[in-house]
Amino acid sequence: MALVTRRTNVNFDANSVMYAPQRSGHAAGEDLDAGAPCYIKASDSKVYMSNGTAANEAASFDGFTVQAHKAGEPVALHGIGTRLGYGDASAPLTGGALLYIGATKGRLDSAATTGGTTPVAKVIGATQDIRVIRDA
Amino acid sequence: MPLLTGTLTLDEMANEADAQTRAVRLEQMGEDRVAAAIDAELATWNATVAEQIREFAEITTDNQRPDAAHGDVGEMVPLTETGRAPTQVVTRAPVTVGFPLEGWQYSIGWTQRALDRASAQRLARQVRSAEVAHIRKLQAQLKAAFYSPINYTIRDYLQENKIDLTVKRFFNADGWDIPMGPNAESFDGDTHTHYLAGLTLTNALGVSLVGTVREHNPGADVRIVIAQADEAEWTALSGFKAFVEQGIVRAAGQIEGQNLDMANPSNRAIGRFMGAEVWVKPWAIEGYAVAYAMSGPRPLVLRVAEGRGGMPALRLAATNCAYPLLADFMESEFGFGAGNRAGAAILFTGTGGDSGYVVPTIAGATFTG
Repeated sequence: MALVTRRTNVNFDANSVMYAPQRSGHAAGEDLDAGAPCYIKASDSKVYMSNGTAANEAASFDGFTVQAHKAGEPVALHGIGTRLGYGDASAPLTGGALLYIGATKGRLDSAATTGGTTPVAKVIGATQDIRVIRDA
Repeated sequence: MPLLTGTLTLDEMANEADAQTRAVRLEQMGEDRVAAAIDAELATWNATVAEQIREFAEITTDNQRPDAAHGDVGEMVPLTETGRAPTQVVTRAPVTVGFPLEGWQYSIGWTQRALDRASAQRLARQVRSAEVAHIRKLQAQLKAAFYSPINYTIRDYLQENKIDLTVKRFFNADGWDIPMGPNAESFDGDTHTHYLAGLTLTNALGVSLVGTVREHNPGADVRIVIAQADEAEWTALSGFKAFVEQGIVRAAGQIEGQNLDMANPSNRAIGRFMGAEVWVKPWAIEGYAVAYAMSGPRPLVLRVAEGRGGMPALRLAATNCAYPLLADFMESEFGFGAGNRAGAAILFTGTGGDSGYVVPTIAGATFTG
């Protein structure tokens, strides 16, 4: 079980984001990283970064951010089919690997975690891109 | 080169060195002027690329051509006063060489707000990136066409009639019915190859390389292309005669009347070997020398799509808009095949060369082996 390295300038493929399901109109409940798996909290409808430390609401998943946001800003979460430029050359992603919600909020892990038991993304071939493979 | 997956957003533009207040915005230029500027840039780019390629490739829209092999040859029969020789007929199965056509796409993504605020320079940088990716792909496919000895079959998947095309390399001992030489020399198609090899570069290997092209192309102007890293090895050959920098007094063995281009060391003629002009080219692979006939049929054929002005043109094919996102699609369709299978020969020298030709790894190319 290991957190995968995420590049500092995560970016997205416009073609896939055009057509992937999205959830928008919610505000960020905290500062959100770009390329972070997130959930919409039931109690306040705000967006928080998913965290697989425990099998609770914080480990749920409603989509990825494609940009960073400050708390209070409107957010769009992008779902299944979204393609992101994610990996970093210093610690490249493993081709074809399934990725899970990590035990650090907003991060992905190469193996299942306590709260993240179902993969949310997959590395696309031998590239450093990932594709969201799970919807809420 | 790795994919640079991404979309131009306001965040990306915040990283710009140009302050937005100084740069001319696209909205100030006007959409029509921007489109016209892109069209003009691509037209110039495409003409430049086509001109460079015509040196070693004929450009065509043909998907295949019949081969010019000769088939069997009959025999002269002794003449008698009253006799008649039996009739003879040459038979051969029709064969063709195929030329592939592959499609390539480079997509540029924007958010509407980023596009509203983008500078003309920012747009130019995106277009330029697509142009560089285009030339790199052309070079990769060209290298595969020269350096790979392996025939392959490809479906003509961008056409209505998706026939299988047999793409041939230069003569590679594949049993081809090779035409006779100018002096009735015959070549055994099962063993005759234009992919030569040796452990180290020698004068004899260089002579063999040039001779392999000349024996099929009598009188042809032959050119040798090498990588800059191999320049010292070739200039050390006894058969090599160097070009010299302008203004320098020629020593014995150096060529009068042809100056060495000191300003462009990665793309220049450096001398002659056995009458063939030796060029350093940026696309050449270290350890490999390509000899090809400059006159007569070009060694390669570059197939392009119909309706592209006879060029492997990079064009803005479409814009997809699903607000707030836009994507522009730059496309090009082309493919290389050996049009004159006798028109070139390649020499590999290096580790493993004593066992035969080593197929190089060519990043970004398809169908290398």
